[in-house]
Amino acid sequence: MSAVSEADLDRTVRLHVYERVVSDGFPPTVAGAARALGITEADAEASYRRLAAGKVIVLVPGGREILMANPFAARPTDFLVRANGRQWYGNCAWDALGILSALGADGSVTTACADCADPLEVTVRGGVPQGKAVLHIAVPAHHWWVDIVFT
Amino acid sequence: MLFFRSEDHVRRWCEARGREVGAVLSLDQAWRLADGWYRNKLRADWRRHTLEETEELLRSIGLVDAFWALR
Repeated sequence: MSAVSEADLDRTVRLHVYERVVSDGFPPTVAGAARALGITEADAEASYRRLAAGKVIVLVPGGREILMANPFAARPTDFLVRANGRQWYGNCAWDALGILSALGADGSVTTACADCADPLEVTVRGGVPQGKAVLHIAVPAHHWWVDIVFT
Repeated sequence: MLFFRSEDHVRRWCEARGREVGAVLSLDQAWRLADGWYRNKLRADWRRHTLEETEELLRSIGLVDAFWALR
């Protein structure tokens, strides 16, 4: 497969991954993506690995399936996002808000204070967030730049 | 990156773990950061932010101290 066609495939796979996340709540498996796109599992897996190498998605450590299609999580987390009558999970506080931004939708994030575990709900309506919450980032930006700046 | 009820809760959580407090963002700042970062993520023509674009995003939110330096 040439470099150009790999790039085309990766774009197609990326769009499919995000379409499925939005519609299903979770990203597709390698096998599911291969079936849906009419490609081999080997080609789908190779594309997932290239997208992961490019920090577009994150794969399960040691595996081939998606752990994160940022800002969406591939499994339930403490950051439940609801909008348009559907729900998703964010990888973290930042990503949970990012899901509502990516969707361009009014919605809510249901979570809890990491300190006291009291329930917290943040809503976004018309691009305006509301809720009694702050967000803490523990690691200075120059340390996480390499890992997440391109997500 | 976690949600807390208030900055007091952030401090208590960090103290209990022997960690220094990092950066505490207001909900408005957090939203603007997430919105600037992910707004185009589902678009077919999405591309990564450049270093310069990310620096401008942080500046626009007032995240300008050493904690937010990218280089």
